[in-house]
Amino acid sequence: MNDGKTPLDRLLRAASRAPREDSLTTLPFPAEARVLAAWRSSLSESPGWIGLWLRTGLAAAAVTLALTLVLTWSHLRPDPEEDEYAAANATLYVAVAP
Amino acid sequence: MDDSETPVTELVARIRAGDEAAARALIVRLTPAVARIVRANLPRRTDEEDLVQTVLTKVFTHLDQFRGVVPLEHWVARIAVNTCRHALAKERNRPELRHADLSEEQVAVLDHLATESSDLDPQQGIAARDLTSQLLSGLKPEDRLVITLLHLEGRSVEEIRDVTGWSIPLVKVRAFRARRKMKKHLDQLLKEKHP
Repeated sequence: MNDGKTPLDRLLRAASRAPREDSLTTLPFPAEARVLAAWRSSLSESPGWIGLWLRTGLAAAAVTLALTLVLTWSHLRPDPEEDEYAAANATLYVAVAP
Repeated sequence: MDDSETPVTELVARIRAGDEAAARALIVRLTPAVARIVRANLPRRTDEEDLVQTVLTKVFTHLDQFRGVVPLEHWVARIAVNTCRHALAKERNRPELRHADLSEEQVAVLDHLATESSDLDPQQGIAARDLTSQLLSGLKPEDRLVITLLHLEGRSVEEIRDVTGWSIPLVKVRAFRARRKMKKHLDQLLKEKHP
């Protein structure tokens, strides 16, 4: 059982208690300016209507594709009745045709 | 107008309306927390300021996606953790740590760990932290992240779930595997010194 006395536990415990170096408390001005510039640029892009337009286009394309597949499949599906008459018609055609 | 006491939700609403003063105030508010996360998970050869800037840029350019379901600080912490994880993932070279690479202070820490069963002296804390950091640099980003959050920052499994998006069982499994790998590396170092 791990009682927290393994070398790894003791190492991690000591590391977690070590005094930390100071990290940034304020963002330097150039970095702040770059963040604000990116934010302003994202506002002017107005991705709302572009995203909506793309999503609508994608949905319309998906519906068209599904309809096309359904129609194609139903058109190509072999109809047993048609096959029955087709065989008879073919026999007649061969017998009657010059 | 001083925005140091303005509620975060109000700042977010003003930022969405294009208020630059509110944006500056939110940067001031978020920078220390983001910097702490970045410092704890900083890849080698990466500038802390650059990564903090990257995180804040992501926060501000995706602020329209913040729904307010969780506090803004949690949402930002999640972005910071994921950004660090991706930065760590770009570090393809994970050097194997050898005994000869260690400083005198780190060797003393190893000696203590090998020969004593007591905790390390508080004066050895910085050497222990550096040694831990070197051991962590040999792990995969996810492993490194989970050990840092769990053992060095003292976060709970639930908090790690919140900032990483991993499930609780996944956090536990990753922590277990990461500890096992770290233990293996540490045991190798101890054997080199105390065969």
